[in-house]
Amino acid sequence: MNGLLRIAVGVVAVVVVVMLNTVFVMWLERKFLGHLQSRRGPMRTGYHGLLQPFADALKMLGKEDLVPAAADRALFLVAPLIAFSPAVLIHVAMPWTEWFAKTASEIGLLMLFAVAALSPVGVVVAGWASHNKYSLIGGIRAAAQQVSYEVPLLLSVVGVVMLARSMRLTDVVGAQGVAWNIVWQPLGFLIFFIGMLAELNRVPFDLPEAESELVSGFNTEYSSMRFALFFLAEYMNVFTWSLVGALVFLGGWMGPVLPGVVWLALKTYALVLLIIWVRGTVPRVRVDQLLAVSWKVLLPASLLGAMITAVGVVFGPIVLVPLQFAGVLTLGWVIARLGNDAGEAARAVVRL
Amino acid sequence: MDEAILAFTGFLLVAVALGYILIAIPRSLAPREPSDAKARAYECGEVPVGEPWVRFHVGYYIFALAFVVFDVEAVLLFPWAVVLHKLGLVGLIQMGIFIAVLLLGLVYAWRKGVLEWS
Amino acid sequence: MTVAYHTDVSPEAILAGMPSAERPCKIGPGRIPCAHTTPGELLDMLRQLRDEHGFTHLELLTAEEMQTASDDDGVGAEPGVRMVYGLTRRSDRRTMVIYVALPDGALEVPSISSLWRGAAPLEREVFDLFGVHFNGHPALTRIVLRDDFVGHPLRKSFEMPEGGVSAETVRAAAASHGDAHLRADGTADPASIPGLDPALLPCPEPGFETERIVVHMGPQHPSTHGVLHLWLVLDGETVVAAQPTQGYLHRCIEKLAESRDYRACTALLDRCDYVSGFHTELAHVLAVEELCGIESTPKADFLRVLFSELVRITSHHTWFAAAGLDTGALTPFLYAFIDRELILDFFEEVTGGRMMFNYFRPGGVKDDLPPGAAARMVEYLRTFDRAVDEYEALLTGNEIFRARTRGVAFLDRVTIADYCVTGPMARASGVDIDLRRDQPYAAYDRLPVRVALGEAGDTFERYLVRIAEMRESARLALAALEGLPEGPHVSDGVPRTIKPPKGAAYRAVESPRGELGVYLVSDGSAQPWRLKVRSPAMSNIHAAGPLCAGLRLADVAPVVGSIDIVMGEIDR
Repeated sequence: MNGLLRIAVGVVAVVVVVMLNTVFVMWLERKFLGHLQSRRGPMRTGYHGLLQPFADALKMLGKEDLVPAAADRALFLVAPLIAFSPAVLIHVAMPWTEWFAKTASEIGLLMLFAVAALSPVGVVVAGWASHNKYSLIGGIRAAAQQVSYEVPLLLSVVGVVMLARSMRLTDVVGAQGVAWNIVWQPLGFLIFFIGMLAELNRVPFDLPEAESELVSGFNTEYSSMRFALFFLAEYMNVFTWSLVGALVFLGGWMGPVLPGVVWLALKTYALVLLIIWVRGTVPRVRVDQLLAVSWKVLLPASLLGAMITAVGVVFGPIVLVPLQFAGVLTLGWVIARLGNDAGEAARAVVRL
Repeated sequence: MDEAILAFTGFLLVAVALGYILIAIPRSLAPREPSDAKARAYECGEVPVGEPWVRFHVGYYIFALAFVVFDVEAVLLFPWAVVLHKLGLVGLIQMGIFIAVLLLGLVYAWRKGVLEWS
Repeated sequence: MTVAYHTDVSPEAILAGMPSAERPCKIGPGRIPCAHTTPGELLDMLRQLRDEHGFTHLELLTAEEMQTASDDDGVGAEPGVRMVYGLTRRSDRRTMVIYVALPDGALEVPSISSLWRGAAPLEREVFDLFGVHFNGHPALTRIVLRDDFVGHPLRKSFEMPEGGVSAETVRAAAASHGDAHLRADGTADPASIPGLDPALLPCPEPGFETERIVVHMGPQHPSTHGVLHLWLVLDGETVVAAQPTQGYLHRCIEKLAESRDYRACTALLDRCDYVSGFHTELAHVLAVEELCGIESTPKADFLRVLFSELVRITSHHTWFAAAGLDTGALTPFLYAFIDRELILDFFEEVTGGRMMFNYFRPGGVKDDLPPGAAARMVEYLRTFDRAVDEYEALLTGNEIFRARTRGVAFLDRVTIADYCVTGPMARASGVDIDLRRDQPYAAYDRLPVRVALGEAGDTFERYLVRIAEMRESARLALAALEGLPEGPHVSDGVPRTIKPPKGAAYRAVESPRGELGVYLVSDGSAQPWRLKVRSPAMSNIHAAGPLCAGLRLADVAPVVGSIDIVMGEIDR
């Protein structure tokens, strides 16, 4: 009984912490994006709009929950839950406390990806069930997106596992004593970050809800809290994946002087800010471009990165770092070329 | 029961319950005034023409097939990665061959034009 | 389509040598050569003018009520409508007008959409507003008014239904929902979408083929730039066909103008292209000045250039903001709008309005610059290039933006001529036309324009052309300020109520979207007999059909954005 109580309290505590962080990420996005765009973001609800997410939630709670007449009612109702639940569930694999770290299974890292892969199912179901053409296209795009980024994302952490000799997140962090994995695995980190943006449906990969063509994509027909659940899931995932990135590539809670939890928070929010910064900077790719980049560039690059690391593990780290950095440069060059090679016939010669 | 499974079950329950509670709250707070216009699919304010549930052209289904292959491969790599330091050069060569074969498949598909959105 | 022709033959001589051209004349104070023809000979005559004499640009297609009392230009006294076709030769920018008189009871004329596909929507507009039938038109339906509207409001005999349009009639019409594509039971019939080839539509019983879906894009859509409506036929993510429809923002501006005096029309026309109101104002004011023989002052000419160019910048700001949003980038919007606000501040300071200016008048402009305004504008414009550098830093070099726009939606010269496309859209494809240089108005003869000319004609090139135009506009505005002559800002002796002599005038200006013209017919009274705005965006947007076909769904918004439309100007 004691064990059960302990689990119950632990789980609820973790969920509360995650929810608070999610709310903070929402506020941070509006604030930071605002400042990126020379505006202030929310200012009126609380100190610098800190209470804005709660105000939004209150508004959502007061909205009518609409179900289109022609929709597949059962699927329509359950889709937000399918998208939202994995966002919470994923924290079972996180080393939140020592106890959780112990119980977190030996395949912790793989577990993360497995649970995270469930969320897009909710998006696809929502898109299909809405009986709306925009939603349908959005849902189908979500599936296309998952098909394209999942493999490179998985492969990007294989090198990390080699170095840690374990899939446990505590071991992965523990193995970064000498230097963070971002030093050993820069190529892996780059691919991980790109894949993570795609996993999160964030700009430049926010295809399933691309408002410039699909109105609001898969969630066009949703209102009230069902819409909010998609929204919550998105921001919860932003937090979660930044946390994963911090653990796997940025040395987790390790750092001098400050307590570990502060270091972890700093690193996590550095990644959150990076994600928001990307959103404030770049346009959206097209779905066929995403597939092309994933399969023709990221997949070979991630396989290459894994093999480089394997060579490094076998022959010693001397070869690892330069090869990895060479990989990063090549990848950057290829991606830069993609933009400039598109439409070779189009020579931009504007003369006055 | 294994604590890990307990933790997983706990999380699953809390995750679903939290989502359900959040959806259930507006039932008592929100107004409910259904109308035909609200129940109609939103297509930019116009009456939709035709069904969305058709044999929709999915431009990437061959990617999806390749995805299955590579996803399984990726999962295979993880246990190998854990024990690579013990396997040494032999393990490296073995996996190198495995990956080379897969890459060959990728190149083949690429050359065949499968990796184009149609 | 292009055959060797002699550009040294003047339009007058051509018309004189054409047997089908009857009663050659000149409209306005002797500026535009014109002739009359019959419906039977129209098609051959226009084809001959286009193919043999180089009049490839259909600048104007409209109609006017016959002035029954009129005889000075030889128009018959029979009540009816006359069609007005304005053609332009690119090589020397000479324009001619062909009239076809249609007496009541025989309001029929052959459609010229086989010569210019861009004529089809213009003919639909004439059908809608005048009731003229175009034989051989691919889809002759109403275009700006509701399908269940009764009557043709630009006919002088038109009377509003008893009690006008009350809320009840609107509601009743909404209940019956007279859209042509709706069947009686309220379900939609895709086969009756005007302008869409039914062969492209979903077939009812396909085999194992994937099915096409028909999607509304707009009017209430985040990225259709107002209330544009596009019918999209999709096969998966691929656009099989796109057909723009319009009319959601029709405000009867041309009808209202017939009950306003010439000065009051300026205020109406501000609301036409509300993103660059000065240009519609200017076209109107120039036409009124031409009709009445009023001269504006040198200072007013420079001020007109100044504000035309400043408003071009703000219009391109709006376009740039949308160009970012259409591809999914949020920040360019804010960057552009911050600077736009600064220029709107100048407008407010000088004209009192930020959007609706009512500033240009026959004979000059309303007010002189307030003290200090010129210095502040100069100060701002000197730093303007740096602002454009910032915009470019956001998009021009961005790999994703380039991948989204380069090589997407090429517009070729044939399509440009076919759809009567003008403005930056045509220039991005290497068509070297710019009225500011080719037909200088206001002070453009004293302030030479360097025309931004592209080559490739894809979405990215259209982007580059407009960016270059922003810089050039700032330079021109600066030159106008620095060369601002002393003297009065408005001519003396312009009567308070303007009553131009009978006649017609057509003046066009280079708006941010292309050739924006005002065709003005006076019956000698204080109100225009007919005021027609040639909308460049209306011609341009109908080229979206061929531009979008074959692209991805995600390309539609950036491509439509690169056309740079303002629905207010399209629907009027």
